[in-house]
Amino acid sequence: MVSVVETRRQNQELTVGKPLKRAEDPRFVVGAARFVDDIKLQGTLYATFVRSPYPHARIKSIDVSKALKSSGVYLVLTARDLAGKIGEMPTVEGDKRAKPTRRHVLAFEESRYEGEAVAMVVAEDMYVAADAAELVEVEWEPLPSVTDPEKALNDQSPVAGLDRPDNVAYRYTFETPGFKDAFSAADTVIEARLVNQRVAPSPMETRSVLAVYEPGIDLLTVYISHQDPFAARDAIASILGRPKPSVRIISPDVGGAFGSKISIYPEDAAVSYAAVLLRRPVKWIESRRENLMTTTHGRGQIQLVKAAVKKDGRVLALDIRIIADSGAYTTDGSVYTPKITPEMASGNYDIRGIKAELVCALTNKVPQDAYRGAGRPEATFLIERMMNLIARELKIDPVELRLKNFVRKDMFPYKNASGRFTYDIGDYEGGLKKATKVVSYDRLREDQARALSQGRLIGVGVASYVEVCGFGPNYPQTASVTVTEDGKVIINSGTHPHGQGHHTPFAQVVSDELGVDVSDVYFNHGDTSSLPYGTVTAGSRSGPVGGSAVLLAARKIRKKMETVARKLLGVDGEIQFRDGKIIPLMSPEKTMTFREVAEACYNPSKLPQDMEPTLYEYAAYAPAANTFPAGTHVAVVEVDRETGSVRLLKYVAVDDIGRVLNPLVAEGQVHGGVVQGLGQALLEAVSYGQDGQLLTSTLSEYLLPTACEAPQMIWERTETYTASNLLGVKGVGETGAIASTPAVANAVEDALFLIGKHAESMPLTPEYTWSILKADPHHH
Amino acid sequence: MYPRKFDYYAPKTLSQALQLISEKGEDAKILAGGQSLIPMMKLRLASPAFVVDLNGIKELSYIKSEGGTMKLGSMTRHADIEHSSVVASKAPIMVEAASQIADQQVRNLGTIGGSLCHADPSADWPAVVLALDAELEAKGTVERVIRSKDFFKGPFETALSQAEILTEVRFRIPPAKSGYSYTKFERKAGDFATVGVATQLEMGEDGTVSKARIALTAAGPAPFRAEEAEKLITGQRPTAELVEKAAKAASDASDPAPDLRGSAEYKKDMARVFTKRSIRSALERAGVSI
Repeated sequence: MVSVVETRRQNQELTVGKPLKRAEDPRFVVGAARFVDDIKLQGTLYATFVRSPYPHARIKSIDVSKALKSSGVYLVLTARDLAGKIGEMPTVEGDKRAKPTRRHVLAFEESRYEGEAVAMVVAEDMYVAADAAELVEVEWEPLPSVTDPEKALNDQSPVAGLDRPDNVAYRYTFETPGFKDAFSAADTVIEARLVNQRVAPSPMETRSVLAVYEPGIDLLTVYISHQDPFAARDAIASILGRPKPSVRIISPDVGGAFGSKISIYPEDAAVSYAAVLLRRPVKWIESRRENLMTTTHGRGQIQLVKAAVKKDGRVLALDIRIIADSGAYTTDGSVYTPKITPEMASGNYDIRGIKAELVCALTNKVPQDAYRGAGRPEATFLIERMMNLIARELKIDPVELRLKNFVRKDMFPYKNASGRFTYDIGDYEGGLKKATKVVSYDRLREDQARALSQGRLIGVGVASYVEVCGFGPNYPQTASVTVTEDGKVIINSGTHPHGQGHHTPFAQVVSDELGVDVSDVYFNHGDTSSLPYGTVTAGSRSGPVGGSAVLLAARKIRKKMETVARKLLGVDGEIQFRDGKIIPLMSPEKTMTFREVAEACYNPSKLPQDMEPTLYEYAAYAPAANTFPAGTHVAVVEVDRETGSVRLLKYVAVDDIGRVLNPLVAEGQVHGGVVQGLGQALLEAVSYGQDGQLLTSTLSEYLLPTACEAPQMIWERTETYTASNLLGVKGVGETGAIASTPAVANAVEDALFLIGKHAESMPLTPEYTWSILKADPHHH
Repeated sequence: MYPRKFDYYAPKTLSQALQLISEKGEDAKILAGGQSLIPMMKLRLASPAFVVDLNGIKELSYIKSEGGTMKLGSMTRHADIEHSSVVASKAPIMVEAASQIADQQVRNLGTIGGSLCHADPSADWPAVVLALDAELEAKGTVERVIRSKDFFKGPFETALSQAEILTEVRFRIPPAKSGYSYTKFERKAGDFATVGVATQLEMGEDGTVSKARIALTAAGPAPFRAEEAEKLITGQRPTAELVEKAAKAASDASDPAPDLRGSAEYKKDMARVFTKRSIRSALERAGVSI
């Protein structure tokens, strides 16, 4: 299918593809953005939560009387107050293998992770609320707990939740038909245990809710920092037992989410309920400590892998066991995110057989959910770390090993080993070759050998990836386009930006379609009252799916304006929309301005018979299929032999993300993703002590990478066109985070290989690397 | 992240401040730059009933070089030291240290006096004032001078009494033929030190080290002078082997606590590595190659 953009490319210079600066940046840079906490409503009350100090405990009693007596306190709620008034938190839907758990909005009788909310205090300000929260007396009976997902699956393990004695949230297994034959044809089997640690998404803006109830019209409006306003509406409506139309969600500017703002949290429901009960606006802004403790974490997998390989490096089959750390409750995110990992574990390679077992273990920790890449980074990590180990074992260069196993260009469409995904198109070899060229791979290897002769450890890490984006199929995204009488354009987007920068690329799509200047395109998002429907912003869907919806709506506008222009001008034939003008190609002297035609659309007397006046079009676009961005990243590091510190010397990313709407915006996404991913490789880990207590509850314990830790980065692209959506876009939001973790880990390991060592877990902290460097090689 | 209730005082003079803290006694806490106290109050780890804010007292903020002595008011901000040309020419070790404290926002508010009195065992300034053998002037009912060596007593514990305020940090300006280094090991930019080593060396005409002061932070319950290491190199013509020995001595003297920055074993080894690097860098700056 040839897109409209494609045909128009032949006729005029396109705006799509230009590196225009993001329209929203000035307001973020000068602090003029409007986040939930910037919304000030008269009469607002403030909520705070009493939280469990234990990883697992029985709640014997809660006495709120002292808190209630405090001056300025309006409401104190516990699970008993909510019983019968509102519903419970959603658990898991769809897959019968997933075992639901009951989760109350405020923990009832049992709390299952440190930080779980057991009571809510609403007061006239945050100081009063925080003081009153200290007066809530909870009688706890600490219960045995488990935070290690492997231990949770032992028969003798304490239970994480009393309603699931086996600590299993989900078990998912498959074996492809050719697996046994492929596995037994191997010359050798290479095994590894890989640990992909729990990390905290850590958006700059923490979770935030402001709920307002208007009794006269029975409308609950919830301002919320969220990635999926319509799902938030549906979930809050469902928990509160309200019809969907009586809940309106407004997600204004959102300062990052990374998957942690897909679901609805207990606090969102409690605050919404309080607003209805008190008939006053109620606000809750999460603290950083609460964010690290109670906002969903990501990754958290232990991967036991056996790779069946031929001596020449051909990888025949994979036997995988994955233990995912679901946390305290079974949720959609805690089980369906890791489900993607075994399904994508064969990566870019033509591996014929796969046998997989995924067990999602319940532990006394906050539930996991999607985190930038959601299941695919874990898959890439698995296979790319394996490729490094295989290359070392067989003494084959890691680049050569990858080339030997890649799905070749002529093999698309290619059904991957699990049979769950069909890669539509790609050129993995082209991407890898470009990356090795840009990074001067051969020279790097010479430099590495020279450095080693001086006692220095340089490591070169390669990671190729293919991931799934779009999600799709059968999952639409929406948009509307309005042209006002003054010829300006408004996009209303069902997909919600929270750092991605939708405005400018979408304006570029509209600009090419309607011939208007990008600066004349306005952008709205995040309000469920402005569109009939919308779906989640995740899985890098915004470009391929959301962008296609914008294009569809713009096409409808164009069609209508063409019809009107033809009538007004009395012409037939092709009409061009260019430079704010509407030009009949056969009689260009009759050109009208875009604005004149827009104005006419609001005047019924000027319109063809039966045409509805005004200029507004809505579109819902469901893609035919998913997209499969792919590429190769190369990291170069130096490991300090004395301290174990890792210094990133260079980073090259080559990505095939299909057509690029705006390369500047896309590159920004890659930079952010790469830094986030290297954070996991080198710095970040959610850690719990022996007693199950969270050790990383502030940002001085939980280490996030900053600009100072970012390497010099070179971004290059290869391009293959996908026909899975109207724009030929594959998605770019997650590629960086997917590729950089294994690229950096492989680089560190490449350096360690030089002296016969290897690394198992992350983050590769100085001490961890130091301990590997110190270890006696004869013990391995 | 909301502190408990407290009364707030903003005296304009030092004597008003002294009067307030003696009146309020144990329940009062002094607010200098606020970069440790405020977060602790917000986390409710500290809940003083009275906060006495020194930020309005102009007489406590200055940088002076007088007759071979460098004097810094206790309320001098890290950033003022970092960007001071006087400090850069007379005591460059302070610039090197200041530029590595936390991040720019913290440096803009945090003060040298606040940091010294807070006495976080991983803070940067304590090691530096030890290496400069600074004197710390305190005022209470009487004025007294405490040698930096005697100031740090343990984690978050100093020689100051509750009714005293640190007013000045002063030290003899190192002679021209000296070398310095503040070498900090951190997990990422802005972190507290995993270990920090301040070295201030003076070279004799004969090419031997005439004076050596080496101080470590984050390597024990309190920052300390590595006196064995100092003795090993003083009066000696420095060699790589000697530096290695001194570094080992500093490591032996260390007693770091295990935490997320590393195990005691690791930190002890890093005390060795960074003492070595610090001495080497100081020697290099003194024009000595080994």
